Amino acid sequence: MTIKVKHQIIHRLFAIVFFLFLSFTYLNAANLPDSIAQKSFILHTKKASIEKVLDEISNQTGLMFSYRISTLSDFNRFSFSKKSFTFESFLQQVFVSNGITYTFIAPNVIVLKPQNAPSPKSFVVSGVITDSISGERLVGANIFLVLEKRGIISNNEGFYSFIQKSDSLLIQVSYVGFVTKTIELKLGSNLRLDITLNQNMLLSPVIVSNNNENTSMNQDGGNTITLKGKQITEISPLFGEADVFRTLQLLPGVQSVGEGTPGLYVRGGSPDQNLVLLDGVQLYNPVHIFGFYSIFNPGIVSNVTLSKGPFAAKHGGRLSSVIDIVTKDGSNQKIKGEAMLGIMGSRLLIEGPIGKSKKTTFLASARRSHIDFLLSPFVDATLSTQNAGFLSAYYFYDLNAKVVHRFNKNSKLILNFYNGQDKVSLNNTFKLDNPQRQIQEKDFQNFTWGNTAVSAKWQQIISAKSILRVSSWYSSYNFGNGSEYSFLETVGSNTTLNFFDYEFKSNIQDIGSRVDLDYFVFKKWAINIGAHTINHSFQPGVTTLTSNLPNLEPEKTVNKSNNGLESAFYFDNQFKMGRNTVLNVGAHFSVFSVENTNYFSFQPRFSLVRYLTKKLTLSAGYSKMQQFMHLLTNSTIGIPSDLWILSSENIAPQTNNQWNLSLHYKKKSFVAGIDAFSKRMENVLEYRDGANYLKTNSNWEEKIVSGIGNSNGIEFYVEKTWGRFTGWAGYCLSKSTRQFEEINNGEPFLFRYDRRHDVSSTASYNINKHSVISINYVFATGTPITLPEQIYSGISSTQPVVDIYLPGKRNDFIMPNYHRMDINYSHHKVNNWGKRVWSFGFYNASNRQNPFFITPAFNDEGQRILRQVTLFPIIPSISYKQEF
Amino acid sequence: MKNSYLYIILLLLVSCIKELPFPDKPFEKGITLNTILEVGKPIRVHVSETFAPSSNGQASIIPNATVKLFDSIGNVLEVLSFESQSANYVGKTIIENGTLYKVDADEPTSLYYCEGSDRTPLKAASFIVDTSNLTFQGLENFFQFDIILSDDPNERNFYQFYCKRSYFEYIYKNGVLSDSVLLSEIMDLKTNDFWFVRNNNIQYSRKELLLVDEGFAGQVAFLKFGTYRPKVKTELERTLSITLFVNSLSLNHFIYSSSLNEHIFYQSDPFSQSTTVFSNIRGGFGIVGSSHSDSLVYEFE
Repeated sequence: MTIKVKHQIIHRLFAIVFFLFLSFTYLNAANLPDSIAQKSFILHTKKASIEKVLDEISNQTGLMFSYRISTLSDFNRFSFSKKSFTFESFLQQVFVSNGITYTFIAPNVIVLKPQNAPSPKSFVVSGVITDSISGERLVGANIFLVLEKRGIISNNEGFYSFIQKSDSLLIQVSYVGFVTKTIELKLGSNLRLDITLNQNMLLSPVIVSNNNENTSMNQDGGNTITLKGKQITEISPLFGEADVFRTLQLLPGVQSVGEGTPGLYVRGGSPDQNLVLLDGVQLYNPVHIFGFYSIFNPGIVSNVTLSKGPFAAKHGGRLSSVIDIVTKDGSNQKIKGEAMLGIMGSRLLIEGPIGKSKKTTFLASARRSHIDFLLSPFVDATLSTQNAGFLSAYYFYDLNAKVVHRFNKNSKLILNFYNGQDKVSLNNTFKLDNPQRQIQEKDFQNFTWGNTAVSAKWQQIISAKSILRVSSWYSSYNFGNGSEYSFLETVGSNTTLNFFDYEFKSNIQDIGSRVDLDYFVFKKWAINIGAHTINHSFQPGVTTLTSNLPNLEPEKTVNKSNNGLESAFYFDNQFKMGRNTVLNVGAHFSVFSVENTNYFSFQPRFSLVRYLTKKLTLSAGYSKMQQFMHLLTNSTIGIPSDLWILSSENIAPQTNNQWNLSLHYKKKSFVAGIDAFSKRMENVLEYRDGANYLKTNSNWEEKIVSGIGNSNGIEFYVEKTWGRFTGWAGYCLSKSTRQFEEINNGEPFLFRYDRRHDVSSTASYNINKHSVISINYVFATGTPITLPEQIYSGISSTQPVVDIYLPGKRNDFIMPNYHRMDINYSHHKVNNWGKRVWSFGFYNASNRQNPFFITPAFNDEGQRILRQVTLFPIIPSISYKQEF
Repeated sequence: MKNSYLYIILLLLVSCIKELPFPDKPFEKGITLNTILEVGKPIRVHVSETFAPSSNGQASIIPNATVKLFDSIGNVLEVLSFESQSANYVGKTIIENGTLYKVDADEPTSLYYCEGSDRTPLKAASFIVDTSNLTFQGLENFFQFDIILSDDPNERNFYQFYCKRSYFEYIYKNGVLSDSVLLSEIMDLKTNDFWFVRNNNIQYSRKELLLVDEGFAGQVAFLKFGTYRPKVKTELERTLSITLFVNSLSLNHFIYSSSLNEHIFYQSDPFSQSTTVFSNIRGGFGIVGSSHSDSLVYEFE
């Protein structure tokens, strides 16, 4: 059997498993008080289903019905012409006469069930939690079961589900910025309980919701942190623009690439080891302006979940972290929006329902930078002369669109679109106009790069115990640059036109599908299971050359593209063992096929949570991760032309084995935690010292070496989550190293972004109902760099004097420490349009000169020095936001 | 107004730059030996000491070393003498092509000893087909060289191309021409030629093109590259000639030049790791390389 046939069989097997799984999940899919009994309502329906009739009654009366779908499956459709009923008469006529009894459960639920139906011993309670004003589903809302003293958290769809053993239910539902709701009722059967929360009229506190703050089946130790969209917009704005990644940098164990840049180094991993998901779609190079801003418009973000490990089995393909960004669904109540104007850029957001049924909602937003308006006039005026013109432009934009259609309470379809681009253009012109000779010369250079993502996701709540998600997506990252040159000369009656066009394009494209099922088997066992397949297509470059010049032939050069197929299957089991222990055991199986090579991977995932007391939790975890693609760069800051490559026959996938141990304490509004981690990464890549100079077009595989990385650390975290004064502080003590046989004489050396001590904190104080002031403080040990140890003379035919630096030990010099304090003040007020917010702030308020980079140089006296360049001194910011 | 913008930008930049001293780490000094053996010319060797970045100095010449030139079987051809004017050790032996030479330097006071060897390349046949081919016009005219290389099929060949301009610079006093000085400069080279573009070595330097004959070994190669043609005559200067140097390099010289260009290129990138320059000197640093030079002159009237 040839390798190719084996390859096909493997993928067919995967496809069969995938679709069998999909098919399987498809298959699975009288004590009334007088005040209620005499409550009246009017029905006016035409051939409406019983479910729709009950919905209409609920809308008119505020009472809710709880029932199994099978209970009402035999009912025909109903037509009423403005007919008036009392509750008692309706229930008697429609249900009791058809053998269905009803039970009223205070305060407002009527449970329907067949006569003589056996009473279950336990009840499944499920539903969705939404914002009462916008109808937006609330992700990560806390549902605390008061009697059982345990809690759960709503998932990414705002859905929750739990099994209740007794018929007395008392729950408290809370969410940041919303009034906590307490619900008490008696259960007669399984209950579908959709809950709406009212927004808190006070300013929302700036807090981090840590998944470990409740005793939840969903938790994975203190290693997964969820930030709400509102918090992101209020933290650490640079030039008036908040940023998702910059906010994440304030969390322990997360470090920045450099001053002002949003690239993330998570627990000693490099930025390409972060799996960045926008509504489930994987993105590459998700940054603007060479990395100063992430591509995520903070105005549309519902929440961001950062997982530092141990990882859920559903995630794979990256070593160090999962950053899951979920955007808002859009309001189902009314059309509304917000506009924001800042120094860096502006954004506009509109959302609302489509049609009267309000079953469909939309959200659309646009963001554009102002750099070209602010800086280009300065630069252009400086570089232009009388005959020679210079025009430059740099801007980025983002477009987001989302449409959600709810077929019914249990089923919805989500369509997502994202497109963002950075564009740089430089236009040189020259003009000569005299009677003998006229010249017009143009030289136009442009660079563009950006992401596009399109996805469709169908979500079905199959039963109170299970929820199914099926999605497909397309994502691409493009980089291109072009050059257009033309020269037009007129001498007397002779006109000459020469032109030369050059274009380079490279791109990465992913097409993928996945299916996920969350199934609550019984009270002590929940399972998540799913599969996905992604086709990665990497096109390193297409060059097109056209010209009318005789010695420049038009040509098109296409570098060999690379395709890889990544397929995976996973399962996660959550067992509750006794009252105080939760065990999570899962695995992620994947196969990656590239050319004639298949890489199989078994990645076990494990975590154990033990509640030592009501407030104190101990957890431990292990996970193995594997990564099939690598970012090749010799630069320590990300640049858009950095090359992504796939694993190949000669380059094995990167792997990471990570252990975690966590201790967490929670008391009312105070949370504290200690997390220790140890990770060992294998097959991490680095450019070798000295490229191969003897071969033309030498393969990238020859330019790199693979080695190992170790990272160990301990993180401390305290947080105050409620009240006028809120905030958190984190400290991380860690050491991260790399070791390659061919670098640094084979000895381990510090990772380029090792920061031994890292402190970050944010605090927010609500001065009054309208004003809030927030302060961030960051301290980090300097990062290591390599400096020359000796200098010797070189010899060259083309250079007069050559100093050759003999590098010392790799990354042996530690740059100065990093300190930064940001201050921000916001004033909120409701005007005729809606809420408006003025924000004023200072980034790096103490004007600390933090090193962006350090490089050997000469000073004015000709002495050798180290030149430290600071990117951002104190930066004031101002922005205005108007909601309407 | 334009100056105001410049001042604002400069002010911002100046406030963000800080000077730090080099860390003063102890290290063991070493000896450096550099020589390029040019076929048809006598040998010149530069011997110096390494120095610390914090010393603010330059490489100090070692004038009291014994520098010897050996033939391929280890016989001493010559003991070189130190020429203080050029700070080089010079000899009288004329270097021949296709020959293995060894050079060593011994400085007993500091216990320095180092040596290196290299085989000189055979000459490649090259000639200019057309030196006056103007491809671009406009602000900066493009002066294109069309070269044919007749490559030796029995040798792996390595080439270096660079271009030197000789010009008079006019000196004015009170608006009146008072004197002129003969100067020269290495010019930037540019190419879209297939053989060059597919070669990674050209990306690190504009001053020279380095080429290995992989792909056309033993065949006749047509090469196109050029330089922006200088204005032949202005009020400030007058171009006399452009000289194109076509050098066959030894393997050691080629790798050294390639790695040196890469090293210099990344010195200006503060975000990259430092690269290592190739050396074939045992007991020290530097290079014993060799080349076989040919030059072609295009004179302007």
